[in-house]
Amino acid sequence: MPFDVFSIIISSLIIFISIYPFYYILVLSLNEGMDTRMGGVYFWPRAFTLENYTQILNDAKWLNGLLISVLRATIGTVISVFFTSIFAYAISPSWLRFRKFYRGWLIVAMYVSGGLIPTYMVFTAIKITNSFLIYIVPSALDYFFVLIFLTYYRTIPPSLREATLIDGASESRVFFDVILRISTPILATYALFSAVTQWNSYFDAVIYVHRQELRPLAYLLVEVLNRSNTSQFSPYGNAASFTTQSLQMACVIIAIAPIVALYPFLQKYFSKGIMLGAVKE
Amino acid sequence: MKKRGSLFTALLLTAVMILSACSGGQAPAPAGDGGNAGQDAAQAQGSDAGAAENVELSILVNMDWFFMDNWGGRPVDDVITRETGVSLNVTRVADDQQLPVLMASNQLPDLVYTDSMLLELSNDNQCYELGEFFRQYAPNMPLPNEQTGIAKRDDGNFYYLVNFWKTQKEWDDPHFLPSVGSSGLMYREDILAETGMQLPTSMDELEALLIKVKELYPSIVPLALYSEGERYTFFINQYMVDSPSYMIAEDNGDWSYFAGTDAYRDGMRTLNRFAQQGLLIPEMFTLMYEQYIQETQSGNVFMWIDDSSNLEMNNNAFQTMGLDSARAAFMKSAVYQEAPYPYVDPSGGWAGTFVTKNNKNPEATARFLEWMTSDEAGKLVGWGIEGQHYNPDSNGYPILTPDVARMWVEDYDKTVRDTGVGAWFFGTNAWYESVRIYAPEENPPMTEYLMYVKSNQKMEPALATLRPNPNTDESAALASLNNTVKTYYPRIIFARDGNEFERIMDELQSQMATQGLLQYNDWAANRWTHLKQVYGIS
Amino acid sequence: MKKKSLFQEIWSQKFFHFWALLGVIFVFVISYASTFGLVIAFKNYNIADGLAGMFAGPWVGFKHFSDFFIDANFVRILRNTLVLSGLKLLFSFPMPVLLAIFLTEMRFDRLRRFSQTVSYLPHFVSWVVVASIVQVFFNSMSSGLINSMLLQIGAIDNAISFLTDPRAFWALAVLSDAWKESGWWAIIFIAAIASIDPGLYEAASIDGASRMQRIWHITLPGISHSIGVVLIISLGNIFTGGMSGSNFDQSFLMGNNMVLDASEIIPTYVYKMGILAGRYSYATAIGMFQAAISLIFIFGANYFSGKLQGQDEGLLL
Repeated sequence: MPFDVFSIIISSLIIFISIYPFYYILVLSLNEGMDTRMGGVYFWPRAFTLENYTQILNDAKWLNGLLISVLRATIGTVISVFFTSIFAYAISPSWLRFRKFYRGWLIVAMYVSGGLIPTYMVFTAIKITNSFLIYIVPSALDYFFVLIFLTYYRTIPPSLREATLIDGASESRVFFDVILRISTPILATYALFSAVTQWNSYFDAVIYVHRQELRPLAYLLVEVLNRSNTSQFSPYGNAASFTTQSLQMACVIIAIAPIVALYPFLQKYFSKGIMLGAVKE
Repeated sequence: MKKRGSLFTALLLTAVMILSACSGGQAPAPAGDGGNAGQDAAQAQGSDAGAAENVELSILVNMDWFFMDNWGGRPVDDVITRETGVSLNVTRVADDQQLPVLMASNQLPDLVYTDSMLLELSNDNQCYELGEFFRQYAPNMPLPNEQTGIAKRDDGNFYYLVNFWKTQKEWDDPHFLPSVGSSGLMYREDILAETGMQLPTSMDELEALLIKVKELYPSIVPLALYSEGERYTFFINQYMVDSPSYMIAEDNGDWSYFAGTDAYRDGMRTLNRFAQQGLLIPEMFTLMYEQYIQETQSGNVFMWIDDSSNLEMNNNAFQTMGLDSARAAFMKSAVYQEAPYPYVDPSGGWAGTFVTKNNKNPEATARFLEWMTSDEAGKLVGWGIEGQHYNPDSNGYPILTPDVARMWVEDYDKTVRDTGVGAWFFGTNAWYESVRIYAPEENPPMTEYLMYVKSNQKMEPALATLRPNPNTDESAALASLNNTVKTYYPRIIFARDGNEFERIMDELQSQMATQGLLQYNDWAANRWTHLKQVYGIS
Repeated sequence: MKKKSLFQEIWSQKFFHFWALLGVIFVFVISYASTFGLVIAFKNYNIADGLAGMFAGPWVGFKHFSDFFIDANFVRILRNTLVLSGLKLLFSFPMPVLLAIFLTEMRFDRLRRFSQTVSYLPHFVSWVVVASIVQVFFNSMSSGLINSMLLQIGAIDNAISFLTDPRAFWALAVLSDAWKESGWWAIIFIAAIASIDPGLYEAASIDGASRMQRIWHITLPGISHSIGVVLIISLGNIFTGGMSGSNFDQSFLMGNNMVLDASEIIPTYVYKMGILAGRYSYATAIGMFQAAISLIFIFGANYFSGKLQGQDEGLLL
């Protein structure tokens, strides 16, 4: 079949261009740091070493960072999936009063902000800076995904809710037992997006958190990547904060490997037919 | 059906519980000063007898390249804590916006150690005026003019203790060297020998040498410049514009911004000539620092801009590359020999320590800073612990112990992080670190180069105070001008021919005119005249 | 039926209004509360003056706005911003949709799962790392991988200067954005396709519809609403660069002084001339200008999306 041939060719291409840069990072991270500086390492390590990894893993703050990242990704995701999905559901019905206001309020907020300094002042005033709460609270509602949830809820026939209400269920029962149940693909999608975003976020940790024990992996990674780029402005030149590219790449691998492994587990929720089964039930 | 909802609720409950546990454990807010939200100061030090005297001060290190982001566990840190009773709770920034955010929202820690935003922090809203501060809390602390002068505003108040200040006497000490990060033109000695030519003493001779190199080694880049940071201003000051600082240059008897001068135009014309002959290639201007180093260390470049501290590393790299004969060396011949303005060391120090208005314990802070500026502390932070890291010779200079001397050459960064030497320069005089770097035995090429740099320099701390105040028209103009000139720099160099060169150069001039060049020139000229009077410069 | 009073109506919808109001309050605290800071766009704010300084001090009117509009670089950076975002809308926006359709149509289950998983890997490589990879691969010196390979197989005679050509910057930016984010955003569309009633496909295959017909008549209409919503939001992100908001990072890290004519965009310019130079009033003013344009774009697009469907309501509102 021509489409099968086509699909094999295209997917091989996708696999190659997606994997190769990763493979390249891995190769650099397994190569000796000074040797990498000479360039020309593309396909396999020229001077193989695990030293870059042992150097990082011996540093206690990376383990602590891993713990913080896992905590913020799990707790933050659970809360955000709940709040985002229920808020989107609450403003979804076409017959709801003030629905235009609710949606407009949200959409304008996507683009309007007072800037970093006033935001910092507000977050300090509500006492979420310099604590774990800063990772959870501002991201509890994802404006963009509210809109994505809305497009999903649109496809649910209103009769489903009405039928359940007639059976004597309350509105919250409808949401928790029926709506959430048939929204698995979008819930899984958002859970993945939220977890990954949480995992990759570092700017909140940079600006709002000064306690070292609260620093996630992404912060530590950015610190490593930035320091070697900015050291040229120090009076010690390259002598300060000398980090080889190989060590940087080892940091990249360590920082992203755990979250990359998440996707295959969620993948099964993206298959067709979940909704239909629920309606027929 | 019900199961899913309750599963969700259970997860949510767990999350909330973990959350509250996390935030509950967060704030053992110290009794007493409540105004310092955000300063999680008191990490109770246990209850031994000494704890009562031990003060923890929080400090923001506003340099993202800084060696370390914590305190204690290093020999030098521990001695400081023992001597002063102060330990530091260090936050090293990871972003330029951290300090501004903390300033605006009044959340600065006890101390700020910074190499930028010095003028922004210098005001009564944010920090203590140090003249008054030390009169009150440490009346016997010596505050020499060489140190305070640079920090002083026009009203005579000063808000930071600058480090690496120096007196003329110290500058004249033969062991006193400029900083290890000093830039220079590095070249491959082996290739120079191949050409049979001498080191150039003029731009024309440099051109002839580069042409020769290109003939002999067509695949090697003759000259690599860089358009960021110190490596960029270094070349302009040293080889193009005969000026004391990149912010100001003399042009036909008037003081003006360097890029507006005829000398800059001439210098750029020379570089454009170089480029048209293929002596410079555009690709080198596109690289990030790491890639730039990769190119130079793999032997692909004949002459490039580098730090003095990189010399050994480059030679090691050549060895590993199998370029056995390759040697890197610094160009030690001034191209501008009859320069009326020798390359000036404009720094009156490179970082300042501020005591913020949020400071919880001014007494302990004053005690701490007084000790840190003492001779004893200078030796400790500059050289290390006597007997362990160095031994003094009969003239009072440090002789590094062999192990430590080797450590410094091998990995500067790691040595600082392991020992604590060379890190905490809170108001420390430049002499201490400088004479440690002087190592004619252990690291001859670097020492020789730095001695050469110094021989071409003149100390002029007044220049460091030639800087516009924040939020003024001239500071906005300077930011725009610097940005414009930097972005035009490679484009002018690689203009296709003479006509295009003149056209882009004129474009630059007219763009600078719209960005307040004349206003800036007026301001700088007046300011410089004023400073010359204040500092007695002829 | 008797008409309900407003109160009765709201009360009957109390479950919905409760959660909606909770969200409204949340959005107010997290997003709107900080907008008091916009006042400094009309003043000369000095950060040393703290919170009080935002309200004290004289008004300067629209000085910072006009400073920006008469800036010699304004036209150029506005053009670059629009071109870069426009190119991304044209090229990197359709990629995730095509990828999602392609992946869901694929027969070989394992290959499909594997391609899907690896296609989102690039999302995890930060732009700093991407920028350094681009330099290593695309430079025209001996260390440039792509040039040396092309030279070796004789496809070209002279190395191509990808990194010094301003137009090549746009191409590299759009391609790297598509490479990095397509697999990631495809997930949204894969989830949307999963919500299409499988009965439609069954009916179509009974009618003997071809693969293209199925895609055209079932899949695309089924996800058109999602596509529309994402498209409108991308239009609103015209200053940050489409869905992934990659303009700033790309311009900052992959741009260089040789290609600055093409790579300097409004956000990077504001960062350099406003934030780094301590001119917060100026930066805030330009931020307001960007927000205003974004809102015009997004509400305009929403209005036309409604008109296009012949409805009063757009896709978002």
